Amino acid sequence: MTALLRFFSRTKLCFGSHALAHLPFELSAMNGWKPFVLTDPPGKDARLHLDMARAFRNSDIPLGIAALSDDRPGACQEMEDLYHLFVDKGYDCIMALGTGPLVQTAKLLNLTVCLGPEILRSSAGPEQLDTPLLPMVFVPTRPSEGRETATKVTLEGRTFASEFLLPDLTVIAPDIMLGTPENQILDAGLTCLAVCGNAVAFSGNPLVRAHAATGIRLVRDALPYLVRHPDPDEIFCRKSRKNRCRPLAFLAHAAALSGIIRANTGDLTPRPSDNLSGRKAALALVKDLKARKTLSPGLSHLLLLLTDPDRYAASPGSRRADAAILAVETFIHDVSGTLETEAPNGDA
Amino acid sequence: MTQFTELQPGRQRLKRGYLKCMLWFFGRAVQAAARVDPGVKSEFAAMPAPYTFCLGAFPNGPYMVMEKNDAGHVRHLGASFGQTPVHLQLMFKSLDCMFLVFTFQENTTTATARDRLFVSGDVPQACAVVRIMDMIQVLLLPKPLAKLAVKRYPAWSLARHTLVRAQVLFRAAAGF
Amino acid sequence: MEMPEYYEFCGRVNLIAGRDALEQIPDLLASLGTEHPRVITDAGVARAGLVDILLQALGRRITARTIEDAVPPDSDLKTVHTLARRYREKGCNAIIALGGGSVMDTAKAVNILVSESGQDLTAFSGAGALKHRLKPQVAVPTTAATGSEVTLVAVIADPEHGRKLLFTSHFLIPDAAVIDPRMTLSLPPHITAATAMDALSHAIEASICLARNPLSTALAHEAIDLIRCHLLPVITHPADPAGRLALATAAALAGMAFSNSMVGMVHTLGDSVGWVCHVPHGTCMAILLPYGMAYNFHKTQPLLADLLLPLAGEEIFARTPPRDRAQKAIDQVRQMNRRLHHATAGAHAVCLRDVTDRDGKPLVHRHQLPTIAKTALGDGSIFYNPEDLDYDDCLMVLEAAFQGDPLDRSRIRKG
Repeated sequence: MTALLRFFSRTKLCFGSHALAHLPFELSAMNGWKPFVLTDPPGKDARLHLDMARAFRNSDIPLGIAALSDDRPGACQEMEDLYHLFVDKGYDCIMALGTGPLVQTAKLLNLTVCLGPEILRSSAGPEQLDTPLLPMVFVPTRPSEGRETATKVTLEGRTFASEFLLPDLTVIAPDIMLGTPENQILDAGLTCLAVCGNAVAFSGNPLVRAHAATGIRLVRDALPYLVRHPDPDEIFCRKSRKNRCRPLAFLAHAAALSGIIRANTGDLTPRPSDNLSGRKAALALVKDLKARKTLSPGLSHLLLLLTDPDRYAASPGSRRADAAILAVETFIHDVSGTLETEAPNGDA
Repeated sequence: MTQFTELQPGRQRLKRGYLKCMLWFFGRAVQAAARVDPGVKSEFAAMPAPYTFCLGAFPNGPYMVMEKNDAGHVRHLGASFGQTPVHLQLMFKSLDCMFLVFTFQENTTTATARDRLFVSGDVPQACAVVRIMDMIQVLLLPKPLAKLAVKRYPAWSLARHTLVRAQVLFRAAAGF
Repeated sequence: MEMPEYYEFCGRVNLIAGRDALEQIPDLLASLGTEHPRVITDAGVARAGLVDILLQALGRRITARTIEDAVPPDSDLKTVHTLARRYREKGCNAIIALGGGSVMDTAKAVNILVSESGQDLTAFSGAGALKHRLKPQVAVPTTAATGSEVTLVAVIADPEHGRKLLFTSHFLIPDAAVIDPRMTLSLPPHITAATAMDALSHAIEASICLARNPLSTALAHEAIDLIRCHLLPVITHPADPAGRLALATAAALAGMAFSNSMVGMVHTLGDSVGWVCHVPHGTCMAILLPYGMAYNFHKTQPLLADLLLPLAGEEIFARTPPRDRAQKAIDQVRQMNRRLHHATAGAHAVCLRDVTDRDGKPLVHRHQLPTIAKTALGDGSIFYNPEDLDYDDCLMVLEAAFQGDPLDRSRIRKG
């Protein structure tokens, strides 16, 4: 165990079927009675806001739906518009229905509402924040690299950091997962594998390891299926695509976990580079595992996580570390087709 | 440009209607079973009196309100609390969660394990109410459906499975 | 991986564990915007000198406004109301809970009253009654057992009405849990054994009961691994701070696991034995744990088989054929109990009839078993057990646990 172990995740996870139906109760438990829903163009095209509205039937809770378009104004102007919509109509919590930049917008809106719109105009002011913000819910609609569950947000060069920027609730509902291009699926899955694999192999923090072990199992179960059963039309993943929705939700779940792991492994050595993603990040993991094989307390555990108990038991104790590295390489090879063992360089 | 709309979510009238009917009949069956079924009778006998409990969906129902009065009689009070103080609430987190249980897609235990149900009030009494619900389901439903609804189908006597069941069904339909 | 159709997980506590972790509290309180905490503890903890260690760690930056050591072994309504009144009188703005499960629950309940400006705690019982953040609360556990420092539940007795009030809300999770090995160094071996087995029961039940989920299971396996590696060495070398830290951390991990997946019949029966016969909670758990595993064997065999790795270690796991792993896991728990029995010179009981008080008088009598079985039917954990349990089932298991006989699995009615 590490000398001083720390772990913190303020995000509650809700995963599975009918997850959206729990939202009115969950919001009320956070004293949220009038949610402001932000959605992105793919979400809007798939009319996911209607799924959201369906979840709130019988609750008498009105929803404000702000659909961001591709044709977006500057960050400050957009934030100013959203701020006025939010405040003028008396909303009291924020829901981000989408992934990536949308969640950053939701975080910034939360900051703007709580600290006042002057933070948009001023270049000075607090950047490390300790005050609680409004309740925020993150509802991913496709797998991502997990940066939504991070504690930082940037607005035109200024970075704000606060644990309160983490969503209070992440709701992963398979039935609203959107069709996702194969390369994005692969990037998301392998980035999660890199983050989680690194934590299992090198972290002495049992909480981090437990989150990472779950993340790896989710990637192991979902990614090969999604890669072998591509979605050529990339159409929205609704009823006819039910078989793909659950594995996509697994990956979205793994992404949320990898965000939590990133937030709790700031001092871990080696640490997955924030600049690498997808296959490059996964190959960097293999390189780190090989280079620090003898320093990795949890390396053999990777074998168990990526294969099964019987293969783990059949492998002699002295060879488990090598078998684990091979299992990681094989997995990357299986899902991405080719294996490049040379050192990755440059950004993803 | 950001497009903004405000939605006022409506009601699920069909689901709501179905659940209201189910709860109405279920409540009358509880009242009937409290008079004729030995298991249900003994669970109610151990409850304090007066005692009122309700089963419902967050946040706007429907509800089923039951009362054991000072004299020990069990009555189905219908779908609203009125002025009656409620000692125990078993609430599904949403109407959809309640629908899953009353369409036998999930049993009560599974719904509890999946965090779809929450309790306000005494836990021992809540346990008794859940056991009563299980017994009522066994009495009302054909065996294949009842097996889906309870964790372990009980090995009752033939008389309880037939005579008591017939009495409960008749009394529930007749309302006494 | 087995994935439930739906599950929730919340571990919203800032967990800090390590040597000199107490010294982090001033910074923690400062980040929570408070500097006048009130310490809530019990007389035993105060006598053991743990309050002094805490105050020393707080240093000059933080002034504890009052130190209350009047928490009884079972937190009750009267104590909560009294402590809440005193909190307001002294103008405190945070709570440090220093103690075991009872202290943690009392502190959570006091926090409800002072944060909601309420006069009657019963108005906040049940789930979802709390809608706002409470006052800052830091939990410092002094036993490696309950995991209350990371859970969202508080249980308070209402002796006047003969009931236990349950409070459930994410706002009840303390802002921070600080685990410092100095707080558990003085625990005697038999209490160390019982409390660690309590944590083990949380971890095992969290990974086999109906509300299990992959995150809880992963946390539970980490906790079991720590207990396996450190429990027996700590019994023989009680002053080992690294071992103590590992056990206390395991308890917190197990607490986080069961807080999100609940527990089953080991707690259903164990809580009732404790309630009826006043047997320490950890002792009940240690005795009943293998029985709970055996009773649910037919429904949880693959899950029990997975438990063998953290329970027994890599080599035994690899040596055991897959079909025997589940039974071997149960045997490992029995063996652990027997080893603890020997290591504590018999103070760690392995069956209910051997549980005694300080004077050596038996605490559990055979004629009490029916009462215990009846009480068990009112424990909420019964619904999370994989196999159904009625009065007769409870009695059958209790009788076997009373004698210390293995459970006759042919008598289990399978659902």
